[in-house]
Parts: sequence; C-alpha cells; structure tokens
Amino acid sequence: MARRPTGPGPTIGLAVAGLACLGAGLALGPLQQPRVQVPDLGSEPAVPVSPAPPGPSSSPSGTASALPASLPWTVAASPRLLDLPTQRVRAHVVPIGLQSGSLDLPDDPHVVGWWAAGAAPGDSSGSAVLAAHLDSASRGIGVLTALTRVLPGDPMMIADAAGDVHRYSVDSRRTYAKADLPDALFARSGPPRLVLITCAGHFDARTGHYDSNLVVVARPDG
Amino acid sequence: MPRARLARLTLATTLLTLAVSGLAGLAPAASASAAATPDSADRTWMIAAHQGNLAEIAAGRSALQRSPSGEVRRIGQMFITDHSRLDSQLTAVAQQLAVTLPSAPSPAQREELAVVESHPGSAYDSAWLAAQTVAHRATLVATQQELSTGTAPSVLALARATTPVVQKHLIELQNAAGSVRSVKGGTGGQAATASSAPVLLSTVGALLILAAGVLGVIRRRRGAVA
Repeated sequence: MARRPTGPGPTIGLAVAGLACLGAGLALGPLQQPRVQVPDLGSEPAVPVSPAPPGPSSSPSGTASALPASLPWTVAASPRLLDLPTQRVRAHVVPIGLQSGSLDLPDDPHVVGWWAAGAAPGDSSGSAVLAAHLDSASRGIGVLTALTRVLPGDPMMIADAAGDVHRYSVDSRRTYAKADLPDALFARSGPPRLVLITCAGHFDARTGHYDSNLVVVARPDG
Repeated sequence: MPRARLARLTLATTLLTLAVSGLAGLAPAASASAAATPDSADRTWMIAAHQGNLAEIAAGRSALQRSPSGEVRRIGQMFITDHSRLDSQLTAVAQQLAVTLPSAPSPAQREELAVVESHPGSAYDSAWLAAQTVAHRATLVATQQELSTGTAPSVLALARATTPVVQKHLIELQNAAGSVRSVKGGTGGQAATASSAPVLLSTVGALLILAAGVLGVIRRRRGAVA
C-alpha cells in the first residue's frame, strides 16, 4: 500500500507565496497615491498651431492695420456662464489673471475662471481659456470633474456679458504633466477654440497638488 | 470675498449691457433725413461711452496711486490721456446734439473700482488688468453695436475714432498680464482615488498564509493518527 507523502512541501510553498504577496502589498501601499486618470480622446491634436493669425482685411478707421496681429478683429464680450449639457453642468465664469505665473483660479471649484488676457469665447481668433480647481480641501469636488467624462463631439455653450451664446463641440481630451503643459494652449492668435483646463494625475497630500493637467479642446460650431 | 463681489459686479454689468443691447435693438430704422440727429442707439452709446471714459480715467488715476508695477502705471497714464481726449471730443458732439451726459461713472463702475482697490500688492495689478480687460471688451462690443445700428454721422465718427484706441488698450492689457506658466487646478484630492492593487495583494497574501497554516495543522493531525 502506497504511503501518502507527509513532507512539508505544499505548506511551505503556500506560506512563501502568501508572505510574498503580503509583503508586496504592504510595500506598495504607502507608495500608491490617489490619482485621477482618464484616457486621452479625440483624433485631432489637442494643440493645433496656426502661426498665421487672421488679421483685419480692412479697417473702417484706417488705423487697424497698424495693430499687432494678436488682436482678433471681432471681439466678444466677457464670458459669464459655461454650460455642458451632456454633463448637466452649468457654472458661473469670472475673469482671472495670474499670480506668479499661475492662473489665479477661483477658490470655489464650482466657479470657473476665464483667463482675461487671452481670447474670449466668440473672438474671431485665439484660445479662450477657462480653468477651475478639480477639487478643494474646503469646498469639495468641483464642476470641471465633468471633463473626465466628456467625449469628442459633446456640445459646450458659453453665454457672454452681451447675451450672446457661443457654441462649441469637443475635439480632444489630453492629460499633460504640469511641466509639459504646451504654451500653444494659451495662444492669442490662430484658429478660435475653447480650452478647458483642470487638474489630474497623482494627488500629493503633502503638497496639496496634482501632478498633471487635464485639457479639453473644443472648436466653434458652424 | 473680493472675488465674489467682483462676480456680482460683472453680473450687474452683464444685465446693464443686455439692457443697452435691448434698447439699441428697439431703435427705429433711420431714414436719410433723420440721420443728422441722434437716435436712441446713438444716445445710448454716447452715454455708455462717456461713462466708460470717466471710469477708465478713474481707473488710470487709481493705478498711478496704487500699482506696484511700472507697466500698470504706464498703462494707467495712457488711459487717462487717451480717454480724456476721446471724452472731450464726445462731450463736444453731445453739446451740438443736445444730448445730456451723466457727470460721473455709474455706481456699478465705481464699486467695481473699489473692489479692485481692495486687493493688496500684486493682486491689485492682477485684478486691475482683469477688470479693465472686461471693461474694454464691453466698450468694444457696444461700439461695434453703435457702428451697426447708429445713424448720426458725428456719433458714428466718434465710434470709429474710439475703436482703434480701445483695441490698442486691450492689447496693452493682454500683454501686461504676462504668460501662463502653470495651472494649479486642485487642492483637495477628493476627486482622486487610490489603486486597489496593494490591498488586493495583501489580502491574497494573508489568505495564502492562512491556508498554509490550516494545511499544516491538518497534515500534523493526520501524521499523529497514522
């Protein structure tokens, strides 16, 4: 009659494998940082660059030809309201400037800042840049978390101070390391477009910042 | 918060602009014989442009007194010079056309400047540049409206003379604001979620160790029975 093996082989094997998994899990745990990660979308480049801004072809005053090419000939009033109907998001828009080279975003992540020194939605050229905090330590998750869910073709509307509504469709969504955010996103010349920016990537609880930017580019309809 | 007040003021400006646009839209179509006298659109634009000039002159004086930036002070002086010149031309035409002009900026414009002045140091410059950009865009849009709906030749000439000056100011404001180097768009971390891989690995490891222990006990008992 054959005798069953009584050696410790399987038991030790299981124990070693268990210790390895447990050790790996415990070692990786502290290294894991919370993150916001969504795939890049859109078939067109996020940063179409046009070095030749459209300038005025004629001037009623006869002096506009001397103007720098960075000024769009047709300017719109300042934006006041952002509407993302597919995400059921409507947010107030306020003008913002820079603080030490960074956009001075509204503290409230439910309010969107418009970079006032750039183009405005409805201008005949340039990037109209809107940005907001993804979240805030004191006020929770913000409206631009919706950018993690938008898809190419989704509509976006901006109502301005003169009562005009400017309509756009999403072209692309890209995540950039903060250090690699393209300057061309802020171009005052080139084709008109809407650029929405918030944060993404790893969140560092020590510094209170994310390491990347989520950028959605939309083009005007019509 | 100054930003919240600024947002309320910009909303008030929006409503004012909408009201002005509505008034302009109600203006009757002018005939050639009526073109020498100002219509509703002409009067509305003259009043808005005059108060805009007064507000820009006040903003320029504020910048000269308060801005730590030489560039912002230079632009402030340019506003004083250019808008004083534009306004002297405008008031002369208003007298000829018997249009009564207000003597001061609107309460909303005065309060908006007060909000800008509540910011300290470099934040004043940032708020001043943003507020002036909004104001100049509003002036340009109103002037474009006048050029498309106004009828009085002297007022239309004023609007045409105003356009390149305000455009130049807008460019100066944009250039003075500098370039964006970064966007720090999140401070809370609530939108971020941690990966579940470490927890899963630890759980599997603990289960394997538990299974090894149970198996060891069973084997020892069977060995003892044998």
